[in-house]
Amino acid sequence: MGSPLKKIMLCSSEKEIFSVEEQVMVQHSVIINNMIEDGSYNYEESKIPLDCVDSKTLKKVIDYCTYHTHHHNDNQEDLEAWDAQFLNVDSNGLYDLLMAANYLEIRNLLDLIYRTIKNMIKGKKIDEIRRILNIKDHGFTPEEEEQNRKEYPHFY
Amino acid sequence: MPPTDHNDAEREAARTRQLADLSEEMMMEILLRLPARTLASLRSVCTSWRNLISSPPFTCNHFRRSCLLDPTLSAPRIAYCTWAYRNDVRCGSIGLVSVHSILDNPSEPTQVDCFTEHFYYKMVGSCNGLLCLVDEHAFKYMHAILWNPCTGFTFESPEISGKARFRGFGYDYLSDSYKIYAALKKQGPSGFESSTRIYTFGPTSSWRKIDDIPVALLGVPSDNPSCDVYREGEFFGSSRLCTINWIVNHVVLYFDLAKETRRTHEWIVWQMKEYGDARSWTKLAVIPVTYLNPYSCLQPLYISESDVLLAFCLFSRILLCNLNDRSIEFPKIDGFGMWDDPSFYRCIGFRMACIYHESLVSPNAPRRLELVSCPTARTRLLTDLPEETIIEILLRLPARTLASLRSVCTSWRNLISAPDFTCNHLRRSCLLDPTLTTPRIAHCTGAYRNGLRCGSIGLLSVHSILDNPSKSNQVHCFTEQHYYGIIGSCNGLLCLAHGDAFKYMHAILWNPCTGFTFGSPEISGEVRFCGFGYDYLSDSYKIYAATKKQGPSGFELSARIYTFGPTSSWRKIDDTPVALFGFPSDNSLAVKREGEFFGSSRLCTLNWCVNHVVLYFDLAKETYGHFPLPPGNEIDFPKWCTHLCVLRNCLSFCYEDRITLKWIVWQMKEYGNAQSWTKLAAISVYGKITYPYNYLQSLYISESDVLLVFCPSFGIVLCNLNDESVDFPEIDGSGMRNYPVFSGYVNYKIICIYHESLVSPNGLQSNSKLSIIKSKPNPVDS
Repeated sequence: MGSPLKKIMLCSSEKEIFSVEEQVMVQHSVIINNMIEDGSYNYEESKIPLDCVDSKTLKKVIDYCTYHTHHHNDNQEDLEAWDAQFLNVDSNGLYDLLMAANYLEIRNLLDLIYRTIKNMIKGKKIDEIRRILNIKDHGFTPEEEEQNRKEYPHFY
Repeated sequence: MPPTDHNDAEREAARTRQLADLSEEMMMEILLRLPARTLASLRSVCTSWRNLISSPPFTCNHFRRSCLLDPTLSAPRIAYCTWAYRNDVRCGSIGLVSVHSILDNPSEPTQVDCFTEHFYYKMVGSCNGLLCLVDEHAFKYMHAILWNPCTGFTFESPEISGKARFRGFGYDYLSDSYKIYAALKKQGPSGFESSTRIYTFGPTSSWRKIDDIPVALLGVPSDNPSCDVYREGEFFGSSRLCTINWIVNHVVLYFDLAKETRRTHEWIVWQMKEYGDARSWTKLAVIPVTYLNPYSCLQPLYISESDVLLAFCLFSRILLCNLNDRSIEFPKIDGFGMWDDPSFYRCIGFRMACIYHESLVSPNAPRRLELVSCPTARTRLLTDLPEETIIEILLRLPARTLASLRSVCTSWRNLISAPDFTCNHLRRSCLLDPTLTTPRIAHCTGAYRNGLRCGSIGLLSVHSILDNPSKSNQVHCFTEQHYYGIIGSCNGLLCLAHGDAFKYMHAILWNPCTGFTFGSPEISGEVRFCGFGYDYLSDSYKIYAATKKQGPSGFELSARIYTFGPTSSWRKIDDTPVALFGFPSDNSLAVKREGEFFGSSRLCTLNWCVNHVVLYFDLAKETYGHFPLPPGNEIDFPKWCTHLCVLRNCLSFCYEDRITLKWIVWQMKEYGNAQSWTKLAAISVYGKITYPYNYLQSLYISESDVLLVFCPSFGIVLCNLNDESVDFPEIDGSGMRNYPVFSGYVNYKIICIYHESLVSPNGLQSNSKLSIIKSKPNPVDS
């Protein structure tokens, strides 16, 4: 593995090129780590094409990885505060980040997003959850729906 | 013998045909009873057998059987590394030896199966019959190999660069996968770099980086090859915990099961009776090693039923040590390999041998999120998330929340009710995140509804009692026409019975979190002993009931088992140890009738406290057994004030000491081992509670050592074990203090702890006929 300051190129779906410290991505992304380790990345020529990640999202992902590499030893509370600020995005942004983190296999980020969506759901009434997640067709027959409402009135 | 008669021959032919035509289920039942070794060879019989024996459900079932029912299905064997010559070239070799043949006939030579290989392999560990070996080339690269010597299955990991400082291999119960851990060191441009990796055996997985090990604890960097550190961690696994353990610098990163010290000229083997509890270390054996090579180091491998310890000894060989008379024996083994060359030992490292129990297991293909296509059209709604992602999010929510989320939409409802999901959620709550399932108290009492007496079941949260004892705690009450009593609880399911029925038993299974209910058929007779539990072997929930009936020659006790399922009925089982149960005894209050369930993936039993012993019934084997109560109590226990419970996954026993008037709680650190009874607490309530019925039932113990007990005349009492203070939490409308009156009507347990879950027995639908409990939360006026 190279020196910590070696750079690698990532290419977003808009063909925009991002140059990142190799160590930062290797530390967090299983996919990129594998590419570097099996030697399929050529430092002079290659750029890693990430066709399903747009520039805005890729920038955020890189921010996340960079911050977590350099602030690894910060105390837990500061990191959590930073993470909360980082994920203060709309649901579209969250969706894009989730897909990107899944594609690049960044476990910490995936777990963070899962927890965030979990907290969006937890403690909410059924109607609210449907609104938050934009569930238009819930699939229950009117009878079933009525039955549910009758049985668990405190959920609605 | 060839058949002499034409008819005989025909009959013979007809019979063989019938045997071969057995249905697959029957064939499976037969094959499941054969040892793994035999099955491995039976795969060559025909393709249908091969497919059956290799199928994951079969191997998994066989493995469970060997753990729970019949240890002979999986014979322990020793695997060790050595070297040999092949065509005059030195090469690596792995030897396999049967443990039983060594133990049974130490003086007869035991044959070794040898496998020679081009490389020297190093042993990382073994688990569930799988051996994990690594091959290191010049300490620069390594790759791991998973090998099931019984089936011949092998699987290689990708290569990884670096030299391993610490390694370990084990099974992750949560994700149902086999993992290898490696803390690597390699030469980089700026000096040595270290990284810690996990590899999950699977077709597409790679060495995943994880956070670094606590370097200071592991004593790195010390590069002394003969330093006193086992590089290979020892795997310790159960359905509650799975860890790899190293012994380093006499203090430890995760404790080890058998700790060895070299300070004296004796080898000392310690056992930790309750994993993680440092106070439960117990000295198992002291082995004098005066006549061994001074530099030899002992590695205990196996301990037999008759207390013979089998250990592996460097430069020597295998050694048998009888722990009862401390005699030592060196069994004869043919072609064991060449030991006297220290250079081999140096290049192999410490671990040269390990025990494995033959099995048919091979890892499942791990599931990873696969994105089929990326949505290019911008319909980026969270509802469009792939199902796997939704599952990952929902798995992080507590059972209670999930129960309400079933109403969000049908796809969520189906997902949350799927057996795979509920099972995964239960595993997560045991292994990863206990907050996913909150402990709650279920309590039966009587109430009035429209001026009529009726039964009532109250549910309340343990955490809210512990956190705010002085704030009034709300009870969710369900009122019913019948009085109910509790038979037991397990995995979030409560098993209730009509409390006012003396001449029959009608049991109902209820998951208060999901609302699932299922009623068993009635069983007639007066129930003397009963119990409810989960059978890990058949993955099913069972009720045990021993009923008293008038027979031709007086009263008889007959035992039956009911397995919750759509078509099952009460099945009669073999003899009840009538004498042990203390039957016939005229005092019906003498013993508690409800057995306490104690379960793990190795053992699942119902336990009763009778006649100064713990009597148990093994749900998997359907056999009885018993072991003594805690020692030092020659003064007899008050007969009806004893109580069994499970605290911190240990079977516990409480009673009142008649002299000091204290309540004593004992814990059995290692189930079944009477020497491991440890006193947990002595609670003094004298003067604080004054009532003749003041006997305490322990229910739950919190992280901060607060014991939650039920006192019939006072309701719930909190006892702080650190400062011995006693607290009486406020509980609204529980009717708990009705006990002395109510217990006269109900002859079952009236209170128990359950941990909320989404579980329902495999493939069972609520049977609506008995949906009586399914009424909405309804505060009772008391």
